[in-house]
Amino acid sequence: MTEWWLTGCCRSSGERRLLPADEEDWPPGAEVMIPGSGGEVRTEAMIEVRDLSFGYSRPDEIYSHFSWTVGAGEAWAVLGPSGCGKTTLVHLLAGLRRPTGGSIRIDGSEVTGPRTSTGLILQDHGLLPWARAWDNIALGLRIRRVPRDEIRARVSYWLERLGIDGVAGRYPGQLSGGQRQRVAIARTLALEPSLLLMDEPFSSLDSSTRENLQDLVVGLSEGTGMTTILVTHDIQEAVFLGKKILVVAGQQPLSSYRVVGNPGARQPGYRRSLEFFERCAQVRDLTADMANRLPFSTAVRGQGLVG
Amino acid sequence: MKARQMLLATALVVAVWQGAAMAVNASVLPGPGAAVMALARDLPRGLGHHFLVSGYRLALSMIIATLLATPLGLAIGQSPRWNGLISPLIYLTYPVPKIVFLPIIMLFLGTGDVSKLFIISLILFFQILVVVRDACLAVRPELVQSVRSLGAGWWELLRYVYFPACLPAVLTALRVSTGTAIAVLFLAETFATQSGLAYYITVEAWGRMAYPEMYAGVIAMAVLGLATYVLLDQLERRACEWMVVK
Repeated sequence: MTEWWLTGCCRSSGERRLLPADEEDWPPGAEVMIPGSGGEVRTEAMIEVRDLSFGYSRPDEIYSHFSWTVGAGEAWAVLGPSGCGKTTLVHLLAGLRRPTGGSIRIDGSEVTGPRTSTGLILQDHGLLPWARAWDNIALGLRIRRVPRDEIRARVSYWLERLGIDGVAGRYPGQLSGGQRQRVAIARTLALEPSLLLMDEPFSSLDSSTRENLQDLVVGLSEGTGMTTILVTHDIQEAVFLGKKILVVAGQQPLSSYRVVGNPGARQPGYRRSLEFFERCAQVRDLTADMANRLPFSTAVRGQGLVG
Repeated sequence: MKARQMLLATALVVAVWQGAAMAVNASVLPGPGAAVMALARDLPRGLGHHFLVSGYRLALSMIIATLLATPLGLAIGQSPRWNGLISPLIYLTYPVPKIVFLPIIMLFLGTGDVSKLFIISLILFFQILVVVRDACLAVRPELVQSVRSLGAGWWELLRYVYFPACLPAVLTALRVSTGTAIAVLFLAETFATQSGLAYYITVEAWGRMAYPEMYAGVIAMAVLGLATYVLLDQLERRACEWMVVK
């Protein structure tokens, strides 16, 4: 399967196209436009949220004219206190809920329901208690009528890749929290999503298991071009996993937010670096400011704190 | 339940029975030995046939009730609209003892097997309907959302989520209702019938004051109930293995 990664805009016969990571897969005549030489490099938007409005009941709205853009291959963390609407945002992106106003477009198409190339990992893993680990991982593939041989191959691959091949025949009730979450990750990644949404997937785990799984997610998503969005209320988790951190807080309905650029995220040893602790403090102060409703401007994008 | 525990319990029951028989010392309460001998004697002579007839009525009633109640319970449990329409009817009719309709049912359906199957199925139907509906309503929304995110439509949700979720409830309802079902079977078989354990007990034994045979019939009915209970228990352990594994 060809994996697509934006390495730059290119022009072939006058068209702008995305190029695969491997140059051998480039179509004839393709060339990369180099910044500063008359061309431009621009990150294509993977997700475009425009004037989003949503509420579970009128007139209480959680989001009102909320706009946000996520570039292809980016790693975002959405950080905010419990009850601020983070999970709702994930559900909207996953197509499990429909906005009451505005639109959400992913890969150029409006989201009207669950997409085949969007993967979702929930806090409580969402595994079927009555299905063994093998069957849970195969579930999405069976729903999509993937041939049996391919199901067998993919499930075996992910069991081994995540180190859970020894528990393939066990039920979720027989697994530890970390094993269950690995099965949930395997189930999602077996479908080869281009967008991975994670709603506080590690919050119920102990710190050691949590860090192991965070490292696992980094290892699985880095270099694949997969766009990841992690929702969390844990500042350290957001700072480690999010190269961009969307901070949502304050009074509902939410219409604005702040973005913290975090280029050091996901690097080996980042958790022990001074930059990590400084970034955590920065984000902590920011969330406190927002919670106290201090005035701030609508942030858009960029490195560091915009305000 | 271990076999040793079952044997000990059986031995206790037999001992109490024997003690009572010796204390009463009357023909109306023969000892367990006499009842077992009558059982062994009558089994090939008609008691076996009555046992099979009662067993057939019980099994078929359970199957009919399950096949009718489970889909309806699944539909109600998955759809708020259907739940809103049908649940008030269930609320109204569930507490009514269905056995009181037996004479009416016999007027309309006659005194044959159909009326007997109908009344037992009717009672079990409501038991299963309610537990299936409640089991579906109890399915965590996060689980449904998680499976929906994989691309599941209503059929996949039914097949992979709701049906397995309600299976333990169905089997438990059947198991717990075994005693009620057999009680209703006994009552139904005392009306205008010439087969079944209740007929054997009330007409062929009690009517002739053949008390050891009467107790033999009671033992046969108890065995029918116990066998049904054990069968459903084992079925639940195998079909719902995830609930018992550690």
